[in-house]
Amino acid sequence: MNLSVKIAGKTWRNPVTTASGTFGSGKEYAEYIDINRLGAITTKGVAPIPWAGNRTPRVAESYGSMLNSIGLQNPGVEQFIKNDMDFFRDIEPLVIVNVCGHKIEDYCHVAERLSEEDGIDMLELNVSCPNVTEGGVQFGTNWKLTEQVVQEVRKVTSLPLIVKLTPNVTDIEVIAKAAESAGADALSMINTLFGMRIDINSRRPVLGNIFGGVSGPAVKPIALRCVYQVARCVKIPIIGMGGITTGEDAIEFMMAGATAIAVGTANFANPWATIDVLEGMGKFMEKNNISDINSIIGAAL
Amino acid sequence: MKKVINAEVIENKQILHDVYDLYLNVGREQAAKVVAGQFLGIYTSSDAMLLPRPLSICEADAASGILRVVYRVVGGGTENIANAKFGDFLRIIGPLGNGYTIDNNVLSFAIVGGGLGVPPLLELSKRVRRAVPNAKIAVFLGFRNKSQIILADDFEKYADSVAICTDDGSHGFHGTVLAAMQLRSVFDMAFGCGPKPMLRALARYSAQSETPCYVSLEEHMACCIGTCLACAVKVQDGDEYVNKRACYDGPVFGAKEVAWE
Ligand SMILES: Cc1cc2nc3c(=O)[nH]c(=O)nc-3n(C[C@H](O)[C@H](O)[C@H](O)COP(=O)(O)OP(=O)(O)OC[C@H]3O[C@@H](n4cnc5c(N)ncnc54)[C@H](O)[C@@H]3O)c2cc1C
Ligand SMILES: Cc1cc2nc3c(=O)[nH]c(=O)nc-3n(C[C@H](O)[C@H](O)[C@H](O)COP(=O)(O)O)c2cc1C
Ligand code: FES
Repeated sequence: MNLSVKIAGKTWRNPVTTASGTFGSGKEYAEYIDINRLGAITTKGVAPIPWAGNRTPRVAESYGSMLNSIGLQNPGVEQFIKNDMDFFRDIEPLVIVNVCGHKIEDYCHVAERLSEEDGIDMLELNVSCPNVTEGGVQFGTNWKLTEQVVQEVRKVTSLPLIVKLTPNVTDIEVIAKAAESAGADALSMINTLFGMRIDINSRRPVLGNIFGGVSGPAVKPIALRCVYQVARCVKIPIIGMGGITTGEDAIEFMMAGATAIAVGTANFANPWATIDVLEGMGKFMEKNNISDINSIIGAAL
Repeated sequence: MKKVINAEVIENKQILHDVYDLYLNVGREQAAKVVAGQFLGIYTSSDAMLLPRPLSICEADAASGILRVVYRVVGGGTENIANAKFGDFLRIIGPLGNGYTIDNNVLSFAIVGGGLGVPPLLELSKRVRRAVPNAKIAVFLGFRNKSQIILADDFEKYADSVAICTDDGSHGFHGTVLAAMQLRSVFDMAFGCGPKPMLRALARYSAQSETPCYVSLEEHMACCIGTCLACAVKVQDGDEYVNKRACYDGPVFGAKEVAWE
């Protein structure tokens, strides 16, 4: 049975990675699961300098979903390298670092700095975070800005670039095509959907930041639709995510056109989620006599 | 490797109209790891609720493998947990976080709790008594009124004195735990868990009296295991304040280090 896939010239031993921001750098989950079984690890967003993040409460729950307004708290690229590079060089999965910024120069700075390090395999440009006032989703909702960020970062790094898209747009295909033509090697989607909750007893928004990003099983149909739409209009590979909890969910995303998939919120409901998804995919393949996972990519298109 | 445990419900009884006393069999191996002040992440039995509920370990019995948790029903998750019956299983992770460190050379302890911050202090009192058999342990527990009092008798087993304080004076001392505490002698070490204003007052008191003090902080959590950064609390690290994770670096922190603002 072959589970390995290829994205931007890099071979993934299997299509399972972690959704940025739900897995730290992998150290904490390594206390629960054998992270070496994963295809890749995608880190929390990294900026040029430390970001403090938003005020608390930063999370809330809703039916089959959660909201977060973490606000990309991160220690800055230098501290990130100090904290985590040794760990990355020790593990088997590919390492994808999620890159964030307020300005185009921020993305370039981080990408350039990370390219000097040995042990990072791909970069994921987060142009889709709904939880910061400057940067993030402002880039990802505007095809011209998306194009500019990708073009500029492309100039400073030879690492494969994944561009992470937001579902909070009128036409995701326009943004996807802009990223592709600007030189993205792959696309990942979806980031969280913009939402909120209100505490009816205190009559106040639950999140300190008022608004937050919705993720988890409840967003899966939307995420699938995005992957399917984009798969029809671009040639570069897609990493699908949004509510993936089981092997069947992952298979569904691959049939919609994803070459790899990420497990996010499901980790919170079950620290074993990534492994369960991986094993579930294997079981589905066995049951349906699928010898190569690549044969189902885009099967529903 | 850390595990998700299917813990059998041994007992889950209502002790106040909205407070429950839960005994869970987590096995001897897990129970033996518990440090006072640590908590469990308890998953509900509903797929609609994804996140584990952080609930403090009130007592841990390594010999039987049974943990006790005392919790108030405040929303859907705790309501779901309250419906668990004898023989049901609850999925849990833990013990989680860093608990209280007990200094064996100290002889007089103040243990200060309020509301549903009281439960973890019971295991703490037991551990202090065990670590320093001849210690003087003064416990101060604050509640809104007489009908909200929990665990008072349990503390009598380990403490030299248990002062119950109520906001409305319907039982015990009429006033805050800090007011009650200041009427008493000085202490060599203080531990706290409860509402933020209470902890802030305790921190101020211990700073003034130069009493080493450790408090347990509460913040909304998602993962409970240190990855999502939901539970940020501002704590001093060297010369600067940084965000630490209540679930992984805490929930217990030195009162001096916390940015109380
Ligand atoms: C380290 C720690 C230890 C705790 N120990 C106890 C205890 O021993 N006994 C007890 O009664 N309570 C305790 N709490 C508070 C308890 O976690 C919340 O009351 C509980 O999570 C509420 O869940 P719910 O689904 O009923 O409420 P909802 O309001 O429906 O919950 C929605 C979401 O918000 C979170 N949430 C809501 N209130 C809180 C809160 N006060 N703190 C953290 N998260 C919250 C929930 O976990 C859930 O993810 C503790 C909290 C922390 C952080
Ligand atoms: C707590 C939390 C933090 C997140 N942080 C980031 C981040 O730093 N960068 C990013 O690109 N996406 C971030 N995301 C979005 C996820 O990577 C993912 O796109 C989204 O949650 C959908 O997948 P899921 O439903 O499987 O969680 C975060 C999501 C959550 C829940
Ligand atoms: S709750 Fe996720 S880091 Fe603390």
